[in-house]
Amino acid sequence: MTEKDHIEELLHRKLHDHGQEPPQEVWTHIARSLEAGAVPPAPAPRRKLWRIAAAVTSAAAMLTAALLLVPSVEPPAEHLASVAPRQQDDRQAVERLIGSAITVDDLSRKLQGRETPSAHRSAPQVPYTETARLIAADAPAAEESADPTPAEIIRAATRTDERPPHRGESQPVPEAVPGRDRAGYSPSPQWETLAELKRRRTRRPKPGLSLYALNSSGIRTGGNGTPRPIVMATAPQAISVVNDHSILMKSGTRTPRQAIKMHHKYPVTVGIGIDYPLSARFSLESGVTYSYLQSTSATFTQQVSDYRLRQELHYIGIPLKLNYRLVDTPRFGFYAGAGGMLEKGVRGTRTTTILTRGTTAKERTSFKVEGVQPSVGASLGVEYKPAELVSIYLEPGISYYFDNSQPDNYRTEHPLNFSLKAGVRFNLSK
Amino acid sequence: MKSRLDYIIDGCRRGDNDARRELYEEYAALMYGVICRYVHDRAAAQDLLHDGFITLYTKIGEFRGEGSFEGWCRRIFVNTALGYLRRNNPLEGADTEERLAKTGSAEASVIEKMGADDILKAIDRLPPGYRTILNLYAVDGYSHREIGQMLGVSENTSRSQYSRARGRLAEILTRNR
Repeated sequence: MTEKDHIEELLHRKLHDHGQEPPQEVWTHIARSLEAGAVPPAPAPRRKLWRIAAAVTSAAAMLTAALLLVPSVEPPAEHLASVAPRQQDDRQAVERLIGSAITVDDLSRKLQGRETPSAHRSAPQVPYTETARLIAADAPAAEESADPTPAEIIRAATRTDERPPHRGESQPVPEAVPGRDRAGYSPSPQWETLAELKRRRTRRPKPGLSLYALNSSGIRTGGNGTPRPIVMATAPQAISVVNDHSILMKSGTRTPRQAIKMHHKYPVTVGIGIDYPLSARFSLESGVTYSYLQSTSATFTQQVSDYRLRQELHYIGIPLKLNYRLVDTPRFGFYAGAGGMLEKGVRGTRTTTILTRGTTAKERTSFKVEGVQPSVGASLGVEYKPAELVSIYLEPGISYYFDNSQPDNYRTEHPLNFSLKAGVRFNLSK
Repeated sequence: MKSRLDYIIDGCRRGDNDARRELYEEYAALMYGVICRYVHDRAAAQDLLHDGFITLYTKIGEFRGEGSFEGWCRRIFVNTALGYLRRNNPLEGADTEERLAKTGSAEASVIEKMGADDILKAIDRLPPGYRTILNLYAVDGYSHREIGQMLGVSENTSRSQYSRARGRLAEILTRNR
């Protein structure tokens, strides 16, 4: 340290915090001014509530849209009410068709006697209307068949000149036709869809592995937007912060500590996640994330040099999230989730670019990022399944990053964030 | 967890006069010391202390809790003092000639032994312009660029005036030895 700097240091140390007691009447004057209304109450800091309200409204709108656009699995009650008498009419119609000699129950027994086990599972559940339609549709094809079909059975039962096959006669089991059961009819597409939806609804999801990327943008600014003093260069050449405004350098010079406005770029996060199903609708998601945060300053001048700063922070995080599957169709899925994440800064670097009289020098220093960055968040997800084992998803969400003495970065300036996560999910088993 | 100061600041924001009194008790001596370093006239310094606190109470809503509250206050009072000086000639008494006295270990050792009041007396004897720049740079830690902006002069002027102020201070200290 040079003698000159030593003198400045002495002056600063002895005078900076030196106070003098003011005369009592100063407060008397101030109090009088206050009573006279010289100072109105300070306005409360503006909170950007409208942004939070917009976020909540968007989330609610998305949820409502998801629930309204995807058809419900269960038919509406009024539909069921209309189906019941129709089924009764169908039963009577079939019985009229086959005559009083044979009832639908007889026909059902006939069919059951010919059914394979698989047909036995599905046939009794087929609505009567469907049975009648299929019987009629099967009639021409049945003529070529060696075995009597239900249509033939009906025809036989209703013809007086032809003898219907006796129950005791040996009847070979027919070969199953693709798309049809051995009884010779195929379930309706609507029935298959309903059955598939029911199976999916009750089926427990399989564990999944996902790869994703996430970007976020701030909703609320944590700071007041004013430049914050940082130790420039932080530097190998910096010894200590002398006060709020200056730092001592190894060279002996004392460099004023400037208030430098850093521009924080949007953080980028990539991660690997694992979904573990807890039930048909709930699943737990965890994994590992890597986040990269970069901040830069505009060029500023100190003494004879121009400086530019760049700060890079690298975080590794472990998220834990509970997802709830709202809707699941063969092609699409909608879900909501909430959880938290702990992130640890594994590395920080500051690069100072120094431009002095046309020459450029760079100084890069690494520093340890103390503590962890906790956050909580919630999201809504939409999933598209182009294949059985693969799905792609998009998750808009909202996150809040708690203040935990982390180096200045985008998240400390914008604790409340909108985020958009996109990824690919692989089901680990069928 | 909120500190006592946070509660005081919140009270001031609400316009609570008790909180304002508390804040005054907390910072009046320190801020009066800041003003007296810049302004020789004590009556003027008291007026500036009054004005500085009124400004502080008015603008306290702008303080968002980032950085040091004391540093934020100090800036208000320095600006208040500079506003007063600006109405006069901020560099009044500053030389245009190079009259740098040699500073060295003798000067440093003198300052080392002196108490704050004696140093202030020596600084008080500087012309207002020199006193302002010496305070801004050496004591309050502003850069020459910031000083240039505050006083409406160039950065180089600030740098050269500071050198001269130091030379003049060395002369005063040498004479008093």
